Amino acid sequence: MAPSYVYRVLVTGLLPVIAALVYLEGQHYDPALIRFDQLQSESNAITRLIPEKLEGFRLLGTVRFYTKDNLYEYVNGHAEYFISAGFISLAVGEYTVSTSSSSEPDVIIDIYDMGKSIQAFGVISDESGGTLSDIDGGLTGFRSPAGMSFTNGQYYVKLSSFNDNVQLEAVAARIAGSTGEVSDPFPEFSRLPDIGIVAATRFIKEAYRGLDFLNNVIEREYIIDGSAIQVFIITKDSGDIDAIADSFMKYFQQSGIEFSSANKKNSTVYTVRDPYEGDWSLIVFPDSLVGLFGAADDAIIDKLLTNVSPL
Amino acid sequence: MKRREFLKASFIAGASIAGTPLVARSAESEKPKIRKYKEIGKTGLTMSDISYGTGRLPSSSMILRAIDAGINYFDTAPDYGSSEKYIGEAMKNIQRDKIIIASKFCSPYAYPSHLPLGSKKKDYVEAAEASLSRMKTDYMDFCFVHAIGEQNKNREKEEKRLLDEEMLSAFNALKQAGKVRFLAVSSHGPDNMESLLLTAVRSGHFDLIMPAFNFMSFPKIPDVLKEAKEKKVGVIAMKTLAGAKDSDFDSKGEPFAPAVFKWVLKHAEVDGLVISIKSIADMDLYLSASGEKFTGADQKTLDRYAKQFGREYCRTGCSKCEGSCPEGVSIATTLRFQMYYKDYGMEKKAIESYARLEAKASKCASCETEDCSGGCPYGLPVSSMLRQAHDDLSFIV
Repeated sequence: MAPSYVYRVLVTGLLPVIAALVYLEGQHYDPALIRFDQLQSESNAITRLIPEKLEGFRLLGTVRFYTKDNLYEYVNGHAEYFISAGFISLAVGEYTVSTSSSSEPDVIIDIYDMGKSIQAFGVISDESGGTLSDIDGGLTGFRSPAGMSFTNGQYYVKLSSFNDNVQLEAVAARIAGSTGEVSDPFPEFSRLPDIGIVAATRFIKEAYRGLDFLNNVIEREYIIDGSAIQVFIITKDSGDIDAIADSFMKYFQQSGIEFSSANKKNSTVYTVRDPYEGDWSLIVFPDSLVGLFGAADDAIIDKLLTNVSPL
Repeated sequence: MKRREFLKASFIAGASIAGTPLVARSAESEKPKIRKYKEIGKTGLTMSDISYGTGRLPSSSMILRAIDAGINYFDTAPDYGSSEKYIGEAMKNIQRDKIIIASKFCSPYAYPSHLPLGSKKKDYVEAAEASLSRMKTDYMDFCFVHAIGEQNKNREKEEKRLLDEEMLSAFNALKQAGKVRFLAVSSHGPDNMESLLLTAVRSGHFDLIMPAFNFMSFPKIPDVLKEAKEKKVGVIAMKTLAGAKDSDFDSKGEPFAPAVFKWVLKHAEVDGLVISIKSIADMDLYLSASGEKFTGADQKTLDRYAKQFGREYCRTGCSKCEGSCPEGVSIATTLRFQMYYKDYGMEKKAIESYARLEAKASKCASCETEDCSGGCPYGLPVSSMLRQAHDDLSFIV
């Protein structure tokens, strides 16, 4: 009787201590104690990329996690854009410099999982407003007055600084390290021809130029003799290419858009008279489909026919 | 004003696209077009009831297609990807005075880029001028203080941003220079949307408000709309698709989006709505609602949607269930914390906040009367939600 009573008293006495520890230590929860929904494993994967310990900084609170369902709470007014670009999840960490007692962040790290490298690239090329370049550490990204953004593999990383003394380069290097090394993620780029100065390269996940059947498109803008030309390319297997070509024909006919076709170098070249896009060309290869907008001439089309070789 | 009158009064179909021979196309002529235009407040500007939110604008050609379909109001922002640039590319083919362009006091850098409180007059002026440069136009019709209620949960701080003297001074300078015609404000919450927009309406500074407004949420918004109407401040609705969960929605063959739009536009206080249009198919679908009356079939579609999704969704700012519990449980607050916990991934904040709440849902487990069950006008199962919330938020194993 006595030992049992002692144990009971001890255990009862320990409960407030355990509760206090749990509260003070934060949410180092045991999944057996608290039910979380199925998003937890997904949450863990990306939130782990936000470092708990970042040299010179202190993590404020817990890492926040967002999915398609609640992204609008974080990027209100911009969530649809991210979702259409392939967004999967987002982890956000707020830090203050370790010497500060402030609860206001000096740095915010956003890591967006965009699912694929090319989709992360699509977002950063849009967000950069055409100022994409190589930033420190071989990362592709851009700087803004408020911070720095870059991609690493499938992750789009945005660093925001609210303290002029913070060196974001070191933070970027740390995050790039945690998101892993990426070797040439875009083999599709090698198929784009060398026909002029490259002004911009974009990836459009869906409804390129508003056409619902044109998805996963790479577009490159060139400057040739001072004029802009846009070339787009879609690479698929031949069945898919035929289906897209059929969709184009239906679209032209339903919209009353005039076009003519000619066979050149074993490919079909369509010349399209489009009231909204102007005159443009469409070339159907066995495993790809290439379009050419802007001030293009036969010489450029010939170059495309020669240079766009199968992968 | 119907489309025919509008065209007669201002321009003929296609003529707004200068120099582009938009020939009569039999197939195209059967496509949905704008059928109704309405004046925005007392600005003298007349907008298409369904208008273009260019957050997902795919190309300059979509602007021309939209104009050809009768859309004449374009809502853009520097941080909407290439939107302003595409508008600029289209500008050479547009009769500028036949369309309405609205942009934001904002930078083109990655979101969030709306100018914060503390920005100087020159920051606002430079932001607007940069937008004009990208859009290749001399003026914008509306410039928005965007997303009020977003940067700070503290109402007073956001009110300072709303009525910031630096911003107002910049707007007056831009207006005098003929670069911006009217001042506007938008809000999609999440905090204090209704009260901040009401402040904007009453301030006399704003010609237009743009609230999030749909059939599922923001029940206090009609009060704001009513006062805006009385003061002849324009109202353009956004976020009309109620969370856009329609991809999982079995609408029984009746398209969801047109029904939603017709519901929004049946409110006399609403001058029009903006909707993100990413494709030609979107445009065709959305424009089918233009000028159409809200019908019983539309209501059934919305009812089905609310039935499928409504019982998952405690409406922000509603609070109509408060008072239904004889024990005084803070129902709406508890369910809001539960939303933070379950939906927003803010578990720690939710648990901490709930711990500080005086009237917790601890008594719900033993409650036999369940008076709260009829307290939700949207039919949420309040009692079981409260019990679940208390379990989740209070470390009960």
